[in-house]
Amino acid sequence: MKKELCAACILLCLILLAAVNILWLSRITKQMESSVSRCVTYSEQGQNDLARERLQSAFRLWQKNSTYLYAVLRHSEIDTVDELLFALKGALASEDPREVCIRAEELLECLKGLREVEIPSLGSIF
Amino acid sequence: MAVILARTLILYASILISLRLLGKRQLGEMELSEFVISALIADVASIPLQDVGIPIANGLVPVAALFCCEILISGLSLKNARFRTFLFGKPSILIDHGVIDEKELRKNRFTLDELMEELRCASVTDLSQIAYAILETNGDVHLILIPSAQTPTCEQLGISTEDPGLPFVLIADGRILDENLLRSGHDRTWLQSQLRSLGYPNAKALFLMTVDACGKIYAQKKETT
Repeated sequence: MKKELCAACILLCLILLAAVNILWLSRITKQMESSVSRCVTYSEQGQNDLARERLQSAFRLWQKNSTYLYAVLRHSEIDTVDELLFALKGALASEDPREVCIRAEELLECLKGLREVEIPSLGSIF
Repeated sequence: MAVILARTLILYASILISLRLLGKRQLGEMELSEFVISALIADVASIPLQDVGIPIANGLVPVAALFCCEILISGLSLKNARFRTFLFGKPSILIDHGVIDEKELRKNRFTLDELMEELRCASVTDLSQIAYAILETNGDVHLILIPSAQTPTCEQLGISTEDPGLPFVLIADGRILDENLLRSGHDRTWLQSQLRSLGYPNAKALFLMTVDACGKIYAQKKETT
């Protein structure tokens, strides 16, 4: 009975960990999305310094959580976000709001995808 | 390289511990759910092993989850007979007093050739000698012969026998196993005298030496390389 109780506890812990992982990943991606959206807004208003600042904060957040992200996400997905962040940085440097908007859209879609794929649903399971 | 090595060691340890705790050493002894779990564990664990781009958690989490499921299912099947029957099925009687039950054979997808093979493996050629052939839930076929075809026991023959007990390995590959020596009720002085009487200078000259409860000694000399 002790063994079964331990197994049930471990299983429960795994489920809790999975739930915490979803919440934590959602938090990171939503913060990133917010920063990127504000970056686009500032860029459209011609406030490129503020836009760069917002993007930098998104970069910092992504780097700060890199250990956790590498532990739970496919490394190729992290690399894609890295590439998109650098592409957005390049677009900001060119100070072309249209290019910034396109790159930001790609990044936002990617971040949304990362979040959604972790949430159990009929679509993600099957 | 170092990453792959670390992953290999972690996953190997997790599979080893999981399968060891399942308590089965041979595939033939496994029940259905155990076999499925074992196959799945090995398969799931190999995915992050092959691809460094997949987090190791993708291998460890399924292994842990499968292991917990197996423990829970086996625990439940121990407590509940109905659940056990539902999960593992019931033993089937394939031969009843020399008569093959065709219905049971078909039900268990067991061919006549397979049945005959099992009988040959058990050195039984005469079907009329079989009282029961039982297909166990782990896939093994057990034969129970009619009394007249069974090997007589010493008791039936009226022969008194001594119980040799469990033989203790006293020397393994030239090394004296003190724990076994103590359990067998002897000491190193006794061992030295036995070695001398057998004509060996010391324990290093022996590959194996055992002693049973009757004091019968078996000794095999070590090959010289």
